[in-house]
Amino acid sequence: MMLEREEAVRRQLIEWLGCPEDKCRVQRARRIWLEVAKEDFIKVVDFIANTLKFGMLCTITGLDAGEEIQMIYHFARDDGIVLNVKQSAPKSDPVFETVTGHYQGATLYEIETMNLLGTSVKGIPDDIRYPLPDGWPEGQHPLRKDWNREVPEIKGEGEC
Amino acid sequence: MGKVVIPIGPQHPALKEPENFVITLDGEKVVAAAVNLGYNHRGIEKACEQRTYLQDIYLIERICGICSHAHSTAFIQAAEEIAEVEIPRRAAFIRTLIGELERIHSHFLWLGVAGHEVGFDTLFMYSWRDRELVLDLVAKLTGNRVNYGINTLGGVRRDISPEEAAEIRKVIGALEERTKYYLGIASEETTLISRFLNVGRLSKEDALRLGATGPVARAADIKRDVRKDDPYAAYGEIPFDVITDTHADVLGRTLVRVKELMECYKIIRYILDNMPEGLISVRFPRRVPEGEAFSRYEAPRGEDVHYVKSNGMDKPERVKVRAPTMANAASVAHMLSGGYLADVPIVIAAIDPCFSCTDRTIRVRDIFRGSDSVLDWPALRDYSIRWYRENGLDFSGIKLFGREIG
Repeated sequence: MMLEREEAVRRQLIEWLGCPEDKCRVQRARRIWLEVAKEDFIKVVDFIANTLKFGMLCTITGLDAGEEIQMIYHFARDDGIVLNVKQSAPKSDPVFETVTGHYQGATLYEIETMNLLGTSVKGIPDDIRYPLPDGWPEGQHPLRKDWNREVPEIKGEGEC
Repeated sequence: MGKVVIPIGPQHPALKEPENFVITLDGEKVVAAAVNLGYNHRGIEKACEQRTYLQDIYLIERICGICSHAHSTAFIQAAEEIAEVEIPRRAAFIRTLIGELERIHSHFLWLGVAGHEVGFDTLFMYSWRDRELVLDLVAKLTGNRVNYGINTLGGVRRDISPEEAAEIRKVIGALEERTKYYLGIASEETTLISRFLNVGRLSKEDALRLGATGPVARAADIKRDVRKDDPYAAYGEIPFDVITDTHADVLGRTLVRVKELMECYKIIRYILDNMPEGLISVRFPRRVPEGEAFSRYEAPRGEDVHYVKSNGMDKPERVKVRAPTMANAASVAHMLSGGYLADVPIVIAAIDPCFSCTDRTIRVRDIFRGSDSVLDWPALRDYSIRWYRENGLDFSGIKLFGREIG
């Protein structure tokens, strides 16, 4: 069977999570997508890292999904399989838990979503600017769909 | 003497691009290092949402001057997957060919920078001289030394003729000889070895823990290469070896890159020997159906990943880019700690942080008059305007920022 390895990972996830079949799908060879509730996220990450042995977090994609902010975590394994895990939180309270406990290199990826989408990630410093400049005004998050395209005045710009 | 904190960058002679390192010293020894990035942020992801997929290729290609093909291919693969467009095999082979030529010029560039950072400027001069061979070749094949514009949605824009294939074989033959020489230098030249050995150490465990990628990870004995693990373009059918090393330091990163060059020649010869006949592109829909895809590409500096989401229109809903330097940023801070201040430039350079090298002059030989001249910027601009006018494109009367461009 062509997608044997991918289907085996999918079955493991569905059985362990006890989630509906449609929450996890095999898109093609080496691509699996999974949606999880925010409350379950960290224990799912623990399962992915320690049991399924996905050793690498390629990156985190944050996106404005209308009423919600969605986070997609792209985990990769040495056999080439990428497991894309989605969790969402309401735009009014976009708070997520950090994954740096399992994937230490994730700090910058999480800070990026804090800067560009206005998320709050519990467990990492909230005063680091990346990639926006230090003087960037509070509450301006360029990757939100309703963001005004006018570049706001940046404090300290041009000063030495 | 107490500890001293030294800021290096964002503008510093040892750095080739804006980034900031805060180095804490105890005497000459680095006891802590922090990396601050973001000085090059240009809002490209947001800009992609406001442009069509076709326009995005050209924008994304300009994320980086060196890995331009890496970025455009990673993006285009995601778009093609969502649109369920399968590119012709010949197009996949041409994309792979350009990708390997890009890897060659990137690794030659890196070798020169590494030599320069440790005062071995002869190596810098030699490798950059040799790099011109591959840059001239890609300029002949695509029209540009960097930002080749070879990719298009559904395939590639230019074919490779038998004459061009012969030229490629000739150039890689010459480069292979030079690479053997560099391999000798990297494995036998005692001064260089003592300068690189045990400098910027990153153990296998630390590389795994910090998410290192590309030659940085492979030099720590981690056999990861997207071309092999998650094949794209034509890599699934091309035999080549993933190069690893156990030194886990700057020497290891040097050996991995130089040996990878030898694999590039092997891959290119396979492509030329087995290039399938047929079309180089297929039709791509203007509107891309709803969907999402995650695409990976083994850039010269490591894994380059793109996520694309479509909302069914002609412009993407979201484009996310993670370049390899970002993945290696956490490792750099770790490598610097415990080393010496004098090693900071080479340790940073050893991850091959991304910088562009698009400045150039053109030497034009007038075959009719026999004259040979170097064009300065205004002369090059005038030549360009004249060339376009003679070829049917007249920019007279068009104003940009209140100034006539033609």
